[in-house]
Amino acid sequence: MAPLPLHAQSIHHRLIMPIAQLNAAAKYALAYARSISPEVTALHVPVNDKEAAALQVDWEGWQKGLSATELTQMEIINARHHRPLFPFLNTIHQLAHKHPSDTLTVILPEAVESPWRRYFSAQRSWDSRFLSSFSLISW
Amino acid sequence: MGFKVSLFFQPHLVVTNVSIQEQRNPSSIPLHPRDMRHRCVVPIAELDYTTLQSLAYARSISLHVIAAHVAIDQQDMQEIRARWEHIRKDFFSDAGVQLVVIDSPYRSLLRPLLAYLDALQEVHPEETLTVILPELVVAHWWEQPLHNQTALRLKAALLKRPGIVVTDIPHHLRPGQ
Repeated sequence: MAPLPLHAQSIHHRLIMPIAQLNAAAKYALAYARSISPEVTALHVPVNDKEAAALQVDWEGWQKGLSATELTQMEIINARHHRPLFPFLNTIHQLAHKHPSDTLTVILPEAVESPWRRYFSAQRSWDSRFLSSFSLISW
Repeated sequence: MGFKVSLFFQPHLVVTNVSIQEQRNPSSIPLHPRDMRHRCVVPIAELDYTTLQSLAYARSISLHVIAAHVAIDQQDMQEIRARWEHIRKDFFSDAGVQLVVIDSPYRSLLRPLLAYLDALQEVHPEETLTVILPELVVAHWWEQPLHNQTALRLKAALLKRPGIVVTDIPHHLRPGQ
């Protein structure tokens, strides 16, 4: 990929974003990405079929609200029994290869809980917290 | 975390961390690109080639870009202003990029900058604030601790503040540079 240009007009943006579910954090990150460029690719590497199907339904409903000029799309990469990181990096390399003069930006959505809420929910949701931190590690 | 660490080693890949706080009033979170009001802050030490690249990137996503320099003394302040006047005609003629020099009488870099960012957020609560940091990519892994400690500390401090988007732009250091 080419180095970053020195003039803003010469930069052509292309964005790519890992997505697990279409929650508020993901929608906000998508809005951020789409405000930079219409060429946004959301990438999902399914952990299980049910989750992927639910996301697909959510995504299709959400995508109906976009204007015709938007090229935002989601790709689901089936790569079970592998760590999701590798197919993700693979896709980035493919995109970089296909569009060598574009500036590729990876958008990482993140939901940050406020400290108070974390304190009160610590007992109750220890299991889900463990699972969520686990999924972060396995990314 | 492992995911982010691996992205760190990808050359020429800009990585942006977009976070929201769960408790924030949901209706105030922009969910459509047209509601997104961008403002970018690029902390700069000097005005070199990589800084200009970062400022160009910032300018391409926002009409309001601030090159923020923390000055530790009068001489430092005058030097950066002079250099800015020298290059602004060639690169930033449209007033979309402004230089802000933050005075730091106690020679601290981090605190005055964080205070400035807090003030920006308070004055413009409706805006999405992005801080663009250079990520120095060294040729050899053992050089890593030699470079960029301030940027790393700044990044750690920023990632704790939801509402601030943090973008890393990789800059490659060749051996002997």
